[in-house]
Amino acid sequence: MSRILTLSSGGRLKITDTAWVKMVSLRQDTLRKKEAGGLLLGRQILESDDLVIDDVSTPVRGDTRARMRFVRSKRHQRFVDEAWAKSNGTRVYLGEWHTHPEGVPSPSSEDLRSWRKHLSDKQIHGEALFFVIVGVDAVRVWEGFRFQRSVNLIGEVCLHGQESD
Amino acid sequence: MYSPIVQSQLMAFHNLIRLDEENQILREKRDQLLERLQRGLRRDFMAKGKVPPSFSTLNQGSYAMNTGITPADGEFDIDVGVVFEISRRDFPDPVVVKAWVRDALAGPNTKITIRNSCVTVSYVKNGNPYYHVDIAVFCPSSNGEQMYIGKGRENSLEKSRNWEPADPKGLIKLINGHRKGDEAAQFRRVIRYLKSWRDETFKKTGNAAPVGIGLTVAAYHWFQPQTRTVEKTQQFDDLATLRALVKQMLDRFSDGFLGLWEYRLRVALPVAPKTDVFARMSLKQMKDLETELKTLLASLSRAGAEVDPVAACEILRTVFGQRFPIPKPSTTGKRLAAPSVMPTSYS
Ligand SMILES: [Zn+2]
Repeated sequence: MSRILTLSSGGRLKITDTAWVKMVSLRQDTLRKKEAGGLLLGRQILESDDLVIDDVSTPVRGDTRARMRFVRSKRHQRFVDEAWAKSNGTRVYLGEWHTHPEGVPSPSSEDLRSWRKHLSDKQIHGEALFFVIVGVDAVRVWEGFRFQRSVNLIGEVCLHGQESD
Repeated sequence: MYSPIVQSQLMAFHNLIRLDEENQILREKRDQLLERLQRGLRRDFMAKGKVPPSFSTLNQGSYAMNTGITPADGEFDIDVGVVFEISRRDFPDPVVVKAWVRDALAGPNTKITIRNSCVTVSYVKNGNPYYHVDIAVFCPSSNGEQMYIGKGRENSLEKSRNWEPADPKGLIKLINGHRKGDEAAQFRRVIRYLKSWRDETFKKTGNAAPVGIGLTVAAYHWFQPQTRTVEKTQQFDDLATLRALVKQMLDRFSDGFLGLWEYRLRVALPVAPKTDVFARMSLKQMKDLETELKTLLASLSRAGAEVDPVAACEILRTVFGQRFPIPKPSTTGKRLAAPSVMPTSYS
């Protein structure tokens, strides 16, 4: 299964096993399961346009979780602060992820509104922001452009069958 | 894809493993050995009322070609050539001359074996292999223009005991003069990477390792430097270069005819006697070599495709051994002056 996506810059985005398994294990593949989400953490690789998402946060007390709704609380901030402090400022916030109870997910108008807000937020540092939605059958990844406040779908990974590299 | 971080880890690894031409230990060991040889010959020949043969020495092997690596297990390997001022007509059997060397060097903590192309002297320290010296025995032609190397073992048939034409100085000159400047430096790095792969891999499997000179000559034939331009400066891409060389070696395994139809990698010595440097490997050893080269190629390809330089270096450590340096993740990322402060996110 290839989890290396090509960016508009020509650089590449890798999602590591650790990050991937945490997200995919919360996918809404039964009717009972509620939306889940969190934020993306990782590195912008030096001397390149490449990025690695190597961890994600998962729901904490204080988040709002329903079948069709997830509100990530500000309590996730501590993950960002901790990662930044422990890595000499190199492990940083790289975006948001959440689940959808649909096969191949697409962003709701609420999602797009929230993403755009993030893209123009001056308290979010760094050039790169990504948005991941974990559906039931596939995961899709969007790259955000901070100045244009727009997003672009850069990849879709099917969750069924054993694709090989 | 080229990674400047992986490249700098490879360069750091090379600095760690390279055996300096001026290495003090090797120089001392070699000089001690040559003194012992001289004393031993004098002792043995005088005892028989004969004049000991005089000899000169020839630096050879990786030491002279500046392609040596320090051993991961601590057992140094020293190559030296000894040129006896004798005539082939007086001593048609080189094994006789090789036995002079063996007898002259016999001593405590020393194991000496006459091998086909050299006499190997192994020293033991506290019960462990300490270092060994491969002594190649030469004699010159009567006009001094040609050199011959003594081939054969004690149990070899007469037809396998020969003075074979050789050009040890010519080979050193060719390897040392191959490519210029930065390309020559990359040529040496790639040879050293191959040797550390060889040491790591064949130590694990216990199969016979390809000889270092074979890897060096293969690189001489097929090395093609690969560079990348990063922000208008040219950088050498050692990973891609090594991968291309390994690919070339694999592509050259063939069913060529050499007395027998045999599937082998043939690497011709570029100087006299122009023989195949891997000729002494059995077909089984050849098969093992091919399998290991395929594994190496696959690992180099995976490392090259890795986005995360830390993961790429972890793969390279499996290829080159524990000495390969893996960077801390925090040294591979761009730094932010402050952590982002995020608003609530709705979805
Ligand atoms: Zn949504």
